[in-house]
Amino acid sequence: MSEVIFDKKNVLVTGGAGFIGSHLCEELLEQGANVICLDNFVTGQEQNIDHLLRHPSFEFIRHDVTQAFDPEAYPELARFRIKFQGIQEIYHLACPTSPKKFEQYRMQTLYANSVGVRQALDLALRYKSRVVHASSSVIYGPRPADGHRFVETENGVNDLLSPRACYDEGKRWAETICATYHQVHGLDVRIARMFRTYGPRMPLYDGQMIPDFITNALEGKDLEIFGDETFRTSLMYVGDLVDGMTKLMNLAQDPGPINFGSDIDIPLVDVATRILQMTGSTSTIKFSGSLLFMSELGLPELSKARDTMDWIPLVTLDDGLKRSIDYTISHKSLLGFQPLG
Amino acid sequence: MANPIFERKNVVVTGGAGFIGSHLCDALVKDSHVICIDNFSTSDVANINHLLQNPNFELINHDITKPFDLRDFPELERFKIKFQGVQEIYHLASPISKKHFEEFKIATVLTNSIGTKNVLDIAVAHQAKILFASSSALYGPRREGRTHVSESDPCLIDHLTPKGAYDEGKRFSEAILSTYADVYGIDVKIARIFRTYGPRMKLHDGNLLPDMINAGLDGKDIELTAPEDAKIALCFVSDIIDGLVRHMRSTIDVTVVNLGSDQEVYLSSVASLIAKITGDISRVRFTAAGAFQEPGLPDLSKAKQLLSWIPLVRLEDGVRRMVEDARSRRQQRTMFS
Repeated sequence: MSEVIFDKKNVLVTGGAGFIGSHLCEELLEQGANVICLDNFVTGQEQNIDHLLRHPSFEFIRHDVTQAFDPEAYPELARFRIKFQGIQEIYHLACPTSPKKFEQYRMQTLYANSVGVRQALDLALRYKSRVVHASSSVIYGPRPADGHRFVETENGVNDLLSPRACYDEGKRWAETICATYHQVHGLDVRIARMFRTYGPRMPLYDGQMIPDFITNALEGKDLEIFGDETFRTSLMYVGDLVDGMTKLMNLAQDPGPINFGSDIDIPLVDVATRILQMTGSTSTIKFSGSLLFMSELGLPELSKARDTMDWIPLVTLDDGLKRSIDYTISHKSLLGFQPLG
Repeated sequence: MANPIFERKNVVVTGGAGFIGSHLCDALVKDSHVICIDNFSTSDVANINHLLQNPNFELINHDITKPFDLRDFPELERFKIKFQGVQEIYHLASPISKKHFEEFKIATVLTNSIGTKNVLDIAVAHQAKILFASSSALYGPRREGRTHVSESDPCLIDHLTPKGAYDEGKRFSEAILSTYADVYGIDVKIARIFRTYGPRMKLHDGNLLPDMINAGLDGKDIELTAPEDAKIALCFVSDIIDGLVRHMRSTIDVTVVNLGSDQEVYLSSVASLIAKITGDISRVRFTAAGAFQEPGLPDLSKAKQLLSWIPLVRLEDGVRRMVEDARSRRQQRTMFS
């Protein structure tokens, strides 16, 4: 990483207008960084970063990461003096994620995980930036039959010819590109394997379920689970994830791939029930056919994150749900409770 | 696929100047127009020299990681691509070099993502069938208690090793193919090719058989850094070509097929055979056993059933032809150096 001789480091976040990306941008601003946020709004949303646009250390550029990006060509970035100061850190999050519109974005998903990663890493080479690449638990494959927790060192088994391959195999390939850039160019690129995450700003009516549970509970509509009573998953609050990602970036040494997630398995029907209780709603829970891109996912082994960076997920499900509910209530008019997109 | 109302199909072979690619061009040029695309990063123009004068063959020197449109090349005008289109694409291009693997790593990454995408875009533009040359590497190392691997077996590899760019690259290319098939409805074929040998294999690139043959022709001992009971399965290149062509001509529902030999032989007996054919001077010696890790053997039931394909060339015949080729290439090398 190039030395910071300036007051504030310059940090680039690709996919910064997404659910996770927008929380990351917020946290980085809080930590005192200049934040350049890239997004093309394929599944990211402008309203996620609306409140940041006036922040003097924040700049948004609408850009498709599969195209080359020259930060020095943008007058709006002149105040970050990138030509002299460079870019110290890149968080690469850009990749379409949409359970409902998964099919529609298959090609973009392929490109994001190949050409997009390459562009981000080439930019890192140019500025000798340190990179945190947002990978996913899907690289391990589906929830294992023996119920073991995924360890960072295991190979993973996923079906590279399944209809989900553009994402599942794409995420593996993205990691391989990162590893190859490290081997060939000595680039410092760190891999964060994120498990299922929830919190404010998750897209509504997109098959992510939890935000819809909250909205529907508040509106007295049915809560719809895409699956049956047995659908279990683990849930990490987005604030914990963002904390982990910045910790990973700040570690002196690249520890190798790191799992970030919750290792507490919970039936989704219990989450829905809890939301009904917390909102005092009289809605009912119903079960619908499952979605290709909404699977149970396995659970992470978290000892590496704990041992290398003292990270564990801290926010309890009740706290996280409460924050998500509060966000939904306070943004009720803004969200309009209308299907988006 | 466009209706074959033409005398000859237009067929593209990417990586057509490589070891396998050049043999494929030889086979296809008999009844098709062959458009060979290669950038000679690890291949050799000597492999296709004899085809350059053939009116049914055209070489395009192009790096497939750069977008291209076949209608832009004036030298292809005689194949009337604007009217006839392209019927078949064999996508073999990928840098392969045992000795210089490091040097071509980034190129390997780009070939297996942007390269495969660019070739598929051509397939979509012409509604051509496309066959991708994949590799046994994606099955990962042989598993305990399981000698054979079939097409539906899970692929177990570590994608972060120094070989990831190749191994995982082949996986990602397969994923691109299946996504294109889903999204655009094109007919995609995947051949997972196992260890192949034959004429035109690079002689000085750290490959097992060429190294043994060189030692034999030099009258030196054939040194094997493997345990004495190491075994190997070898498929002669003409058998692979036959399998690729049959696969391309198979029905639309045939996708992934293993091609290779499922007959294991002792490495030592291959070495003895080479020693015998090259003049019976060399002795076979085993030196300190390094790791000798072969992938599983191909389960060939799909290839047999769907393509009526089995490898036919006997090892002795194949090795003889390879030795003859190596002998004449070595002579040319001395003549011109």
